[in-house]
Amino acid sequence: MIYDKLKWLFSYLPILLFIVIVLHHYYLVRFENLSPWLGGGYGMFSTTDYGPSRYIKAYGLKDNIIKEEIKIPLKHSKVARKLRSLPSTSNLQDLALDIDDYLKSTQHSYPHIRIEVWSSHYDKKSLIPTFNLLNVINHKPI
Amino acid sequence: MIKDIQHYLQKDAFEISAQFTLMTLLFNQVGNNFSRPFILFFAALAILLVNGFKQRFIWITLFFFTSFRVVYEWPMADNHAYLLALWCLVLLVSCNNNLKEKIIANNARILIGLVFLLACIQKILSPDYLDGTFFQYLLLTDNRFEDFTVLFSDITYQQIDNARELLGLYQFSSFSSEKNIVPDSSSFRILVLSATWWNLIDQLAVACCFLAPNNSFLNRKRDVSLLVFCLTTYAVAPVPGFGWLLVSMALAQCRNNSNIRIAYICTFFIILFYSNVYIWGLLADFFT
Repeated sequence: MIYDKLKWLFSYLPILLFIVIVLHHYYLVRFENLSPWLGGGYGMFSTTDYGPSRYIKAYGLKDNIIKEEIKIPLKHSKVARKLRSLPSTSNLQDLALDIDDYLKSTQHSYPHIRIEVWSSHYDKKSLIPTFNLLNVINHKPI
Repeated sequence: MIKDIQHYLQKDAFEISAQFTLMTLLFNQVGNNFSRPFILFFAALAILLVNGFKQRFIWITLFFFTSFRVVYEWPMADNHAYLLALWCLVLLVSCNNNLKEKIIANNARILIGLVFLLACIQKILSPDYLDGTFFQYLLLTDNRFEDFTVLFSDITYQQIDNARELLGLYQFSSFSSEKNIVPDSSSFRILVLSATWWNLIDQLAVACCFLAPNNSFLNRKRDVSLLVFCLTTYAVAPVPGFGWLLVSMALAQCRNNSNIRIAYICTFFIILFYSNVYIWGLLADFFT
């Protein structure tokens, strides 16, 4: 009896997994600002809040004053793309460490690196964007 | 040849669905440098070997590598990457099972219904879908849709370029103005409105039909609703892989040797045509 029930449940395992993925997607959208287009929630083509509407700003800071805007090197574009999709603190930290390594390799360094992730919201008539800070980190290089 | 086709159409749903899934994997070439060669190899092997699609090992490896792709690229993998991995799992759990026809059909029907239901919920809950902002933005900024926009509205390529340039100024400089990015065009507004509501209503119809109780009126219309969705959406949206996957799944839940099965198979190849012949570009060149 139990074996039959388990066998039946196993037959519908893909649907159970589907539901788990969807719940995880909604959790990340709600609490970690995951783009609704991603994460298996089938939100593609439903909102402007995806890749091109999100952008990253990186700055070198000294005494809490912005000294320079840092251009994110091309070789770190995958990490940056991941951060734009899911601007969690751990993804911010990953990009901060990569930028820190890059700055050290080019003989640059700052007491702090600030990384910000922004999203754009568009006016429904004119499409003029306004911007919203999704997450920020002030990283102190070791 | 006609006899061969008739013979093919009488095959069981598992076999046809599995073969079209394998073709989807070969046509779409998903994955990254690590997973793609394995996915292509095992998909090709399954097609070449007699009864290769019935081998559990084939579906274990395909499930593993399609899942690996999702995990490796997470969270950037497209939504159909998740669905593809889950569909390989369906084929894995149903192959060599006595009730495989029933299992594969039920999984296909529920998964397709849930995918469309979620797509509708996301659109309804989105802060900028129902008011048309999303399609205004998409049609003006995504170059994959610019021929379609030029063909179905009175907007020119130059106006689209100007809109993108202005949007770039707003986004990436300290530019400040009240100048509208959206060109003043009533036909563009109608296009945006039509695209917004057609997408929502069409997807809601598919969700309702696939999730309706068996043998209800709506449930009997499910294949027609999905065929209309595939034939209209994939003519415009450049995501043939999702279309092929939906057709492969839908083939698992329709009756043997039915006209619906023929319609799905034709749709599979029409999507192939859409993805290789860029009809909107050709029409835009001809009419504008």
